[in-house]
Amino acid sequence: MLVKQFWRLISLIIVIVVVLVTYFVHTGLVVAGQFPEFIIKTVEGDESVIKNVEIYGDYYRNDQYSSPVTISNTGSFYFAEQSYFQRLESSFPRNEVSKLKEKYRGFMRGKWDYPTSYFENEKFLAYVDLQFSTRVLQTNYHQDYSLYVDVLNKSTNDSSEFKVTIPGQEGSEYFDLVDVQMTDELLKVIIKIQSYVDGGQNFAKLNVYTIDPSSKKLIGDETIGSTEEENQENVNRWHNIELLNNLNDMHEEKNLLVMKEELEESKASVDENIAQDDTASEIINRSLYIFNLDSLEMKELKVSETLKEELINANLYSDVMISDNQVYLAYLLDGKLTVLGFNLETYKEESKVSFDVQEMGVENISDVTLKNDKVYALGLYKDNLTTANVFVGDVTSGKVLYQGEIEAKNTKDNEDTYHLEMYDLIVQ
Amino acid sequence: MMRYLKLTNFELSRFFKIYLVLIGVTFVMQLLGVVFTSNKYLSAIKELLESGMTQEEALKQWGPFSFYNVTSSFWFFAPVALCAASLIIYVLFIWYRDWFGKNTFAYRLLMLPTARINVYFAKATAIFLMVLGLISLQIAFLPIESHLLQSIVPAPYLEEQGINQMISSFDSLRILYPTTFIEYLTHYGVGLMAVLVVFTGVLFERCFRWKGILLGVLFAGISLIVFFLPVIIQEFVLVQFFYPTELFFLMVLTGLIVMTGSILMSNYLLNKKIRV
Repeated sequence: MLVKQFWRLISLIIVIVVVLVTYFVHTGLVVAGQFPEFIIKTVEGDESVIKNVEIYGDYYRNDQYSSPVTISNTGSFYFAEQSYFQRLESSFPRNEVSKLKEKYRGFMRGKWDYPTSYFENEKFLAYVDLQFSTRVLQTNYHQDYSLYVDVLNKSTNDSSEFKVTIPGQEGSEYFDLVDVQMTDELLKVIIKIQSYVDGGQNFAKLNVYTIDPSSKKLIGDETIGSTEEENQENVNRWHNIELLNNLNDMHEEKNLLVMKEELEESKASVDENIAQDDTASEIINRSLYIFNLDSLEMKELKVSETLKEELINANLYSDVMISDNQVYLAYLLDGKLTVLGFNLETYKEESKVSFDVQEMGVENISDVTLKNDKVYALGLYKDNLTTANVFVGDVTSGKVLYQGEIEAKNTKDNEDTYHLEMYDLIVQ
Repeated sequence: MMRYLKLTNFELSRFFKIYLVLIGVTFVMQLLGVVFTSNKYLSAIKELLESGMTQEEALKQWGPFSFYNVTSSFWFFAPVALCAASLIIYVLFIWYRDWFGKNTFAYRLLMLPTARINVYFAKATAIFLMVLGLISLQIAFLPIESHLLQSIVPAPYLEEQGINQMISSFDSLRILYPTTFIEYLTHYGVGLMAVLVVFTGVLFERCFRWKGILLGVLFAGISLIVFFLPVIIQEFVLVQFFYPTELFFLMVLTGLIVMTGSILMSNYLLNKKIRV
C-alpha cells in the first residue's frame, strides 16, 4: 500500500543512492588505480644512504592526466591521493614551512609558504616579508619597499611584529629577499637589489640589513657587494651578483658564499642585430667570496687560473653546503660532476672530487643536492624505455656511495605511454 | 513526518510527467548525438581513405574519436541545459502554480492539518531530489552511450575513456560531479541553501507583493553577505588570518546559519503573513 502510494519518491531515492554510491566507489577505485607505485630501487651501495631522500616530480599518463608525485625508497605518494583537507591545507610536497605551520599554528597565521622568509634556531623563529606599495603619482615608476618582521620567542611564546622601511631606495628598482639570518639576537636580512641607470646600464648589489627585534628598529645597512662601479666601465659588459647558499635552509649559517659574474654581450648577437631583450650573453669571469655575518667582512676565495677557467665554463649548482669550516660547491663540466671544497679559514681550495655522470647513469641531471658531506644527483626523465637514476657520492673521498634507479612497480601492460619528469631531490 | 512525506510525494507527482519527458529527451538526444557525431567522423575518415590515404595518415589528420567529441557537441549539451533551465524555472513555479492555478489551491494547501512549514520543506525536497535524480541518471546514461559508441566506431579509430574521463571532459559541468564525497556534500549543500533562500524570497513576495520583491531581494543580499562573511573578513579585516580548513568550517557554519535563517523566516511568513 505504502509502496504503491510513494512509488515515485521511493524509486527516485533508490536511483540516486544506487548510482551515486556506485559512482563514488568506482571513482575511488579509478583514482587508486590511476597512479602506479614508484620506488627508488638500490642497484649498488648502501640503501640507508637514501633513507631520508625524497624525489619530487610530475607523473603524466597518455596526455590525459597528470599529478605531482613524491618518490622515496619506500614508495610514492601522489598529490591526487591527498584527502580534500590535506589538499586545502598544505603545499605539495610538504616543505619546512608546512611543518612549522603544524607546530606554531598561531604564529604562522597569515604567513607565506616561502622557506626563504624564515629563520629558526633553538630560541627563536623569525619571519621577514618584503612588502611594497606602488607610488603611482611619481614621474619615475617607483615602489616603496618595507620589511614586515615577526619574531617568536619559543620559550615565552611571545611574538613581536613590526614594520621597518628600507632606507636609501632611490634609484633602486627591484628588490628581492634572499635570506634571513640571526646572530646574537639580531636579525640579518639579505636583499638583492637591482637598479637600472639611464642608458641601459644596470647593476646589482647584495645588502645586509641588521634589525634589532627588541627595539623594533633597523640598526645597520651594509652592502656586501656592488657591481655599480664595474658596470660603468664598459657598455657591452655587466656584472651580476648571486648568493649561492641554500636559501631554503632556515637554520643558522654565518658564512655566505657570494659569486660575482662578469658577462659580455656575445659577438653573434651584436652581428645579427637582434632585439635588445633577446641579446645572448657570455660569462667571461666568475669570482667567489665568503661574507661573514658576524664580522661583516668579505674575502675572496683563492682560485687557481686553471680552476677559474673551469668555473667560468661550468654549469654551477647553487645551494652550496657548509660544514665544519668547509664550503662545498658542485658543478658540471664536460660530463663530470665535480665537488670543490674550500677551507673557510685559509680561503684555499682543499678538496676536489669528480664523478663521471655517464658512468653513474645520470647524463641528464635535473637536480644536484649537497647535504651531510654527500652529493646527490637525480636523473631528469623516465618512461617505459628510459630509466632515471639516483646517485650519491662522498664529497671528501670521492667514493661512490649509492646508485639507484627509479622503478615502476605493478604497472599494467598497456601503460606504455606514461612518463615521469623529475624536478627536485630533497634530503630531509 | 507522514504529512511531510505525503506532501513531498505529492509535489513530485505534480511534476513527474514533465520530469520523465526531460529524462527521455536527454537520453534520446544524447543517443542521437552519439550516432550523428560518430557518423560524421567516420564519413570524414572514409573520404580520406578513398582519396588514397592509409589508416595511419587518416588518423593523424583527424585524430582518434573519443567520447569527448560527443560531450562537446550540441546534442549532448542542449538537453542538459534544458533540464537545468526547467528546474531553475520550476524553483519559482512550484510556488506560483498554487496561487495562479485553478480553485485557489494555495488556500487548501495551507489549511492542511499540519505545520505549514512542511509545505516549504516538501517543495524544497522535491526540487532537490529531482536535481539529484537528473545528475544520477546522467551518470547512468554515460556507460550506455559509450557502449553504443563502441559499436559504431571501429577500434583503431576509437580512444576509449573511462567514466571519470568522460565526466572531466565536459568541464563546464565538472562542478556537478566532484570526485570526493566531501566536495559533493559542499556543492549540493550550497545548492540547497540557494533554493531555500529563493523560496523565502518568493514567500516575501507572496506576503507583501510589490514591496515583498524588495524585501526578498534584501533578504537574499543579507544571506549572501552572511554566507561569505568569513571570506570578507579574510580579505579585508583579518587579512589571511584563517587557515584554509578553518575557512571551510566557518563557511559551513555561515551556510547553516543562512539555511536556519531562511527556514525560520519562511515559517514566520507562512504562519503570520501569507496572503492567498
